[in-house]
Amino acid sequence: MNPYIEGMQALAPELVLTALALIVLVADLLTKGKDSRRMGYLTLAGLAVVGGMLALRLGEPSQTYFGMVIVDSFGTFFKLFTVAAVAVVCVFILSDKNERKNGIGEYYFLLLGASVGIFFMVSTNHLLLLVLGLELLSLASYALAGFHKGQRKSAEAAMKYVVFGGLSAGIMVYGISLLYGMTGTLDLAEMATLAGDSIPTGLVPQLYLSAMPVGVAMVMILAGFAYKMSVVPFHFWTPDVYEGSPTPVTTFLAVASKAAGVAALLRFVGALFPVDGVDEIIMWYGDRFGMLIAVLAAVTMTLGNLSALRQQSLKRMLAYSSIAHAGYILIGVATRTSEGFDAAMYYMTAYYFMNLGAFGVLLYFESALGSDRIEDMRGFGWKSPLISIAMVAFLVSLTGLPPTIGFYGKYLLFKVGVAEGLGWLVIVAALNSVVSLFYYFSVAKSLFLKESNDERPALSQPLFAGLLTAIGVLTIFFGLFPDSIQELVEMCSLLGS
Amino acid sequence: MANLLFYLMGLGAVIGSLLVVTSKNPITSVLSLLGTFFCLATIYLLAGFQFLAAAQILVYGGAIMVLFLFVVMLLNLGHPEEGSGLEFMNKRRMPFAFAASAMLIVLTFAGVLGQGSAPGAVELAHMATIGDLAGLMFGSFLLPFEAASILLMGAAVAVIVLAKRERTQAVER
Amino acid sequence: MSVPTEHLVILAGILFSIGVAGFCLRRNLIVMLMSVELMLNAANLTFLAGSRAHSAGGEPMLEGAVFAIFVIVVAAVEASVGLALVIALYRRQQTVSVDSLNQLGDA
Repeated sequence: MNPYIEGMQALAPELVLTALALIVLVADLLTKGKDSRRMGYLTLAGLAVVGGMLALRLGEPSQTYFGMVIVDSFGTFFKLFTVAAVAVVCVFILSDKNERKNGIGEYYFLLLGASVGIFFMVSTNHLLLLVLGLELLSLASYALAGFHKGQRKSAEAAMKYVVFGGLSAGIMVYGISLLYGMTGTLDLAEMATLAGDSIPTGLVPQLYLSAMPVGVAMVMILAGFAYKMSVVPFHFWTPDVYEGSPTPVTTFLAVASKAAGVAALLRFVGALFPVDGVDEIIMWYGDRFGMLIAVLAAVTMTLGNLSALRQQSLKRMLAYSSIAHAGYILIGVATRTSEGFDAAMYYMTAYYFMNLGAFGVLLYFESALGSDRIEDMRGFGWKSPLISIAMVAFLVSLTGLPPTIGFYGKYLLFKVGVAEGLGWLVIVAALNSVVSLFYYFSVAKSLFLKESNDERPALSQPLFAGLLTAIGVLTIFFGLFPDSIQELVEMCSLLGS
Repeated sequence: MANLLFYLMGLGAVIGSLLVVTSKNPITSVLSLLGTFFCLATIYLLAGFQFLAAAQILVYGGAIMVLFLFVVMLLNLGHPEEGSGLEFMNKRRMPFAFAASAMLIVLTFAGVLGQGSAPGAVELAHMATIGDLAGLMFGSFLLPFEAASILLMGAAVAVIVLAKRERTQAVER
Repeated sequence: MSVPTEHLVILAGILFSIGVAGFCLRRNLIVMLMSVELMLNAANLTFLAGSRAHSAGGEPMLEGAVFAIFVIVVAAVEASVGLALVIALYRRQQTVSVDSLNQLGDA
């Protein structure tokens, strides 16, 4: 068969998603933006189709198309993840009081465009496609963060995001150019295996020649991933952008965008520096690279948790908590083993449930109270018990206590960390979890242990409340029965078992 | 002769970029950046990349820099920034900025010189023409090409979303 | 031109460092965006140097040159979105200084 036709078939989910984005854009124009709710339902229907197509592909063997797109279960896992996250974000938009007046078609177009970017990012070993996907995601995120540009905070969030995004893109592209100059290829898999010719190319001969230039290039490329995952020292933007953006967008940034960064980083490390590398020098260098990631993990989680302690606003607190969680996930990356990667993927799934839930409850509070300050939520638990109990489940899971999904995720990470000789990092992470208990608990305390002085009635939004409760139930369910997700993760494992 | 031109243009690019960073008037910055891009375009041409040189002048010089110039003029910023001395600089970050760029320059020199058997002087067999690049772009790089088209369309929508007046404001009026 | 590749790479390194310095030093958001353009240009120069070095005396390896074209696209996108936001910011606050971004932050 014609390789192009074959490639198009393999890329069907991406194509459908792009087509959906265009349909939403044009349909919104044709209806003159009057009925934005219908655009939301259209988007949800389209996402369901894409999700179905992806689910059917789980477990298929890995194949490469156009010489740069890898269609494998690892990519499909993160694509499904993205589709589900975007669908939940759409429901958030549909139920958000603030969004009703300006939740127009471009909102959905930008979300879908960002998803296309993520799709490219998570399914390639080719640095050019990685940069383009990353840039598409960034660009759509800038516009989403500034969507309520009438509000000063939203405009400021977008501006900060663009400025730091430009910096990290510049650094990353420069790093890639150095790496290309040394190895003569843009494909990570090829780079790792290329043997020396007359001109020494490939990673191995370059490392024998002199490890430093490669190291500089690697650190610079890492900056791009660190920016997307909000890892120190590229975390500056996170609290401000999360606070200033509309809450559904914050949810998207915290869940889908971060997951894309994690997936791309896993592919990068997995292709270049797996722990059982072919060459001695790759392993030597990989050890140092892993150590760098481990140190970044320790700094990131400590800084995130200590800063979260001081926050009055639930939104900023969750922003710092998401920085801390990026640190936890890096434990799995730092091991550079198949088990470590699986643990990171499992934790990402846990992160998905608990953060979608927590940001959803935040949105609910904002609609009901018009504030995201923790002390304004006093006694709210007695007014909306169902949502508040779900929130407690998310908080317990974020802290990493049983019987929730977050506990099992952390358990896996700690186990693999200890097994791979990163005991000190696991101790830092455990201490951090204790610290995080304080600020997560303060929210729960505010919800239930204090009297309310607010007379306003609770909101009645059955669809939204039902969704949040369902996520809460799943958070506990998968904590009690972790096997199904465990199996899924093992099926989609990047490095094979 | 060509070598001399390269070093001249390199010097021009460095001076131009220094002017971008240090000049108080945004117009001067924009025009120095334009000069830097022209110097770089010449270097691309000398290095044998015809099409890149043309794209550099057409897209960078003709479109991106004009956009910058347009915004500076539109917002009426074509005058030196207020404040005396170095107030237009961020003093707090000055040590960091110098440390970072000094480190980068040292790393570049050390990295390049550390590459023991680097290829040294090279010459392309022939100029990299549009044809060569097009063969690659519409061959093995077809998918990134399409991805770039999605990127540009997304950018168009994003810019409209960000720069237009708010709909709610129009309704209130 | 028979300039060694090292010199091209060193020139790119210097331009990149100036870009980083400018980004850190300046308060004017437009100049900060221009510094990013400078950094992306340094990357382009390195790509071309790499492309040239790898195609010396053999099959041309033009991946780097193609990447450079895409970097121009990325630069255009970054610049246009950044400038759109600068205009939105100016409309509201009559300034393009990074100091005006003070609404968000730890209290």
